[in-house]
Amino acid sequence: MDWLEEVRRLPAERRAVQHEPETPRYAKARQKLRFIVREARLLGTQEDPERPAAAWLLAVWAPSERGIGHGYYACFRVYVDQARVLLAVLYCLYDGTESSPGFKSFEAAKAFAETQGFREVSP
Amino acid sequence: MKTVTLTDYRYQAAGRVWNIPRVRLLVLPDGSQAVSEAEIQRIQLAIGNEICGSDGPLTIEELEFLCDATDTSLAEVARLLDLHKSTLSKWRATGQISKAIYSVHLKKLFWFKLFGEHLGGDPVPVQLLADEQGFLRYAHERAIHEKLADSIELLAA
Repeated sequence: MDWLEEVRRLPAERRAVQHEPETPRYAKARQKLRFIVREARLLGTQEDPERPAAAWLLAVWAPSERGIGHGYYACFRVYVDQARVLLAVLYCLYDGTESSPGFKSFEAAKAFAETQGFREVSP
Repeated sequence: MKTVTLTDYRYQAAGRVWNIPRVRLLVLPDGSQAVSEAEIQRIQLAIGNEICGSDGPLTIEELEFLCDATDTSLAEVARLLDLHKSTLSKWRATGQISKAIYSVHLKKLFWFKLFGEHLGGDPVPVQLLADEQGFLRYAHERAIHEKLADSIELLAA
């Protein structure tokens, strides 16, 4: 299954950003959601350990719009029913601000994702 | 999917804090909450309308917000204004758009990207042709009157 393509095919009502207290990075996650969904490349997936069989986690990375500097490392929780994607929720965004990790290349983001348990596997 | 509605929500965007009268959140299967892309787009329309209808100069954070809200790249902005990309880099470094005429032109451009599909064919009072800022105020009110954008309040810069 092409996870990112499935997320891109979802209607806007079924792509979301996890609601948290207002911070600048949370505001950026909302503002950049469409850009990230459109431009990101998949780093890896893993089954959600807290919701086995009901959700998968995706790590993705999109380059900065400026072509330089830190890109956007994001994680989505994708809720599934059988093989059907129901909902995708962005729950993590790292871009080098607010002391978050920052990655200037796909390879650097991928290496970090692997330390977080993301692998190139599909359910 | 179950939803909850927050009222008078303090929403950060474009380097400012806005009071959004109503924000609808999805309640996820585990009980946590999320804001959908559709709801984000609705709020972005309201904020975009406020930015474009305001009198002050456009800031770089507002420009980047408008670019994201309309899927417009900064390269496209440079091309439309016939600017070298180094000018945009200078704007980013200073945080401000250097000339007022660029601010007004960009506000008109982005207002049409946000609302032109619905209001682009509407007649405009002739006197506004000579009053760019007056046109932007008029356009701002039209979008609210036609219920294309909510009226929201700027709380803090």
